[in-house]
Amino acid sequence: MRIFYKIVVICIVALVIGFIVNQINPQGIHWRLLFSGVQNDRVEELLISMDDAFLEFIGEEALFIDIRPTDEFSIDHIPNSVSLPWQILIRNPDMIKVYHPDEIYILYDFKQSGRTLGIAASIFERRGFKNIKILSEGFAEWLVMEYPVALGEDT
Amino acid sequence: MACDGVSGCIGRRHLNHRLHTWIEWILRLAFCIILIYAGYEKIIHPTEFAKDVENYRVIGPLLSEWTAIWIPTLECILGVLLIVGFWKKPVAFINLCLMAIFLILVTQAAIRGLDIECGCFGQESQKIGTLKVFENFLFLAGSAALYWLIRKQESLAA
Repeated sequence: MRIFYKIVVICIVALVIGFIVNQINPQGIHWRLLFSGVQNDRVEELLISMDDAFLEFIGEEALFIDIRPTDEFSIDHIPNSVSLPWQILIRNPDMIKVYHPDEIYILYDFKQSGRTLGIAASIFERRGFKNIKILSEGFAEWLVMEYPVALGEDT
Repeated sequence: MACDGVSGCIGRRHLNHRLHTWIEWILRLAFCIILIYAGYEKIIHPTEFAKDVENYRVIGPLLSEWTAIWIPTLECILGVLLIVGFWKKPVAFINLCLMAIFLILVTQAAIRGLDIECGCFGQESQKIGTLKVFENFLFLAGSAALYWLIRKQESLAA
């Protein structure tokens, strides 16, 4: 039985240290991500199709927000979009105060990976943003459709 | 095995004991280096490791993230404890379980034909294939040998 207790102690200590290290590491997995209760159903509700998003882009009715890491954004992105990496957003949710809650925002990642996009969307919604959308299929599909792309850090 | 008289038997037993101690040391040192290197690479890039875990399509994103904060630290702690020689038996047992889980995961991914990186050594990881399965099998064999040796040494000491 003693070996069992030692195994449990080692595993728990590893989990606790791992958790603390990830909170200290700027590239680490933040606790908000680990305890987030975002459901995939909610992400589905917020999806906007590629065609509708392109119409919003043409009409300049929505602001596109790129939640990928800055280095990926600096390679290529949707023109006039804003870089707001989800890892930074999750640590500093108040940084979205500079945006107006009544405007339309379309969040996108490289692919439509529901979890990070869903968490980013929930941060906006909790702060009273009513018109949050998630780009269906992500930036990868935008490239496939050969829609306009801005290269480098220019928006 | 027969031996020539009592002194011959004791001599052979002593030789075996010394050989086992040496092999145990070599295995502990090897696993210490492997585990600390693998753990460190994953600790500095946890989100990439979480994606690697998710790519196996065995557990969902949330569990992958918990795995990504737990496993790398566990590997580093096991590496340190192995070389220090503290709680050798439970450490060797966890190491054996880890290697068995890694082998099962890599093998099922290879059988399913998943074109993914193994995530074993963070960004230095390689694509999953027969070679990777063989590598993980060697790690499992090594960890099993280490656990057996530690168990035997502890039972002799008792």
